Amino acid sequence: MTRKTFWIGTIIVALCGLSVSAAIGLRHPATSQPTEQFSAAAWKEKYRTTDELIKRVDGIVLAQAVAAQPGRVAYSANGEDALPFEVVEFRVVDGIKNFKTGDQVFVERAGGTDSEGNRHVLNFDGGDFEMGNTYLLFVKRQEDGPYYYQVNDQGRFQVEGGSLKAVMPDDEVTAPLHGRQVREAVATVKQKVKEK
Amino acid sequence: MNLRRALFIWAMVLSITIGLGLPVSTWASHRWGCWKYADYSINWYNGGTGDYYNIYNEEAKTDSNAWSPYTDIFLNPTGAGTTDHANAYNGFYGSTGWLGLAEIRSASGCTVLNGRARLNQSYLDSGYTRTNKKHVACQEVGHLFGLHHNTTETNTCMNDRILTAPQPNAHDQSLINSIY
Repeated sequence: MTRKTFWIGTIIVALCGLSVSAAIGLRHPATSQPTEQFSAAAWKEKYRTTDELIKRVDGIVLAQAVAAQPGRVAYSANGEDALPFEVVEFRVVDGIKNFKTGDQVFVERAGGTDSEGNRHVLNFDGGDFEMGNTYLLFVKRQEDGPYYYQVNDQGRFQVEGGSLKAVMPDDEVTAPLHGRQVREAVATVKQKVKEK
Repeated sequence: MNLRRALFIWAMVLSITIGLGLPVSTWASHRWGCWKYADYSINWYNGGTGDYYNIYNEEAKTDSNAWSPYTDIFLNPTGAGTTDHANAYNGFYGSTGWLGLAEIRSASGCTVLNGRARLNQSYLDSGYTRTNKKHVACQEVGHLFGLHHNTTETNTCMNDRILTAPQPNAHDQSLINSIY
């Protein structure tokens, strides 16, 4: 091998190495534009495995969002901060855990339109549900209310083109389901529910 | 030069270049998008009540490793506001699934105008230690300054898988200081 060939090869290899780290960096960008996410939560429960997610929630449904209504408004203890909630109605397309096909599920979440018509957009949980869209949802029953809530940002997948799209696609809990065909993913989750 | 020696050197070069790039990628990944306040001097409104007022104060200003003395950020105590303000609250927000919430309420491009941190007493008042509450308070305030969750280190409040590290760590410090 000539010295020239060696040095050309070295430069190519170095560029490949930098490309690999740049590609990893692009998956976690430090952007110079406003991020799509403008709210973040410290969730009560975060899971380390998909099995744990499936086991710990009260309900799992493949469900279509059909309507959203303004709900309660919670105030800070000093009365200065108001946080509106909305209640989203879902029709169960496939009941996977503790629900049957055709059931209704009412999920409460922070944000949405308040009773005066003002939008209060929060997207720490994946953002507003799109009416008519179908979601794979992992929910828990409220301890102090009549509704369910999305367990955390690992517990929501939107159906897009027949595949599941996670809120947190790189998370180790959601990665096994993200990008999979709905029918196949639902069958997998059902199997795991049955095994519990 | 023989091929075996060249391949060895190329393997070394590949490892080194990937290795050099990865820490930068990981370091940058703990930024929360491009959010930041206009500069290091931020108006700080502590709207906490009871011990939550103390908790916010400790995490923001008075602990030795609170955001304000530990990093380059300087917090000016003031009233609630919507321009260049970080506002902190607590309340009974109900059975929501979250212990705390950070919200960029308004911004101009990447510049935060009105950030809000909330602590959910509906959960935190039962079964959570003061250290847990401080961890959540520290994390929500840290978000407002431009940091994202960090699950790779266990000594920072920006780790959202634990509740036992109520302070920013050296990585948070250098990241904040690079932003401001």
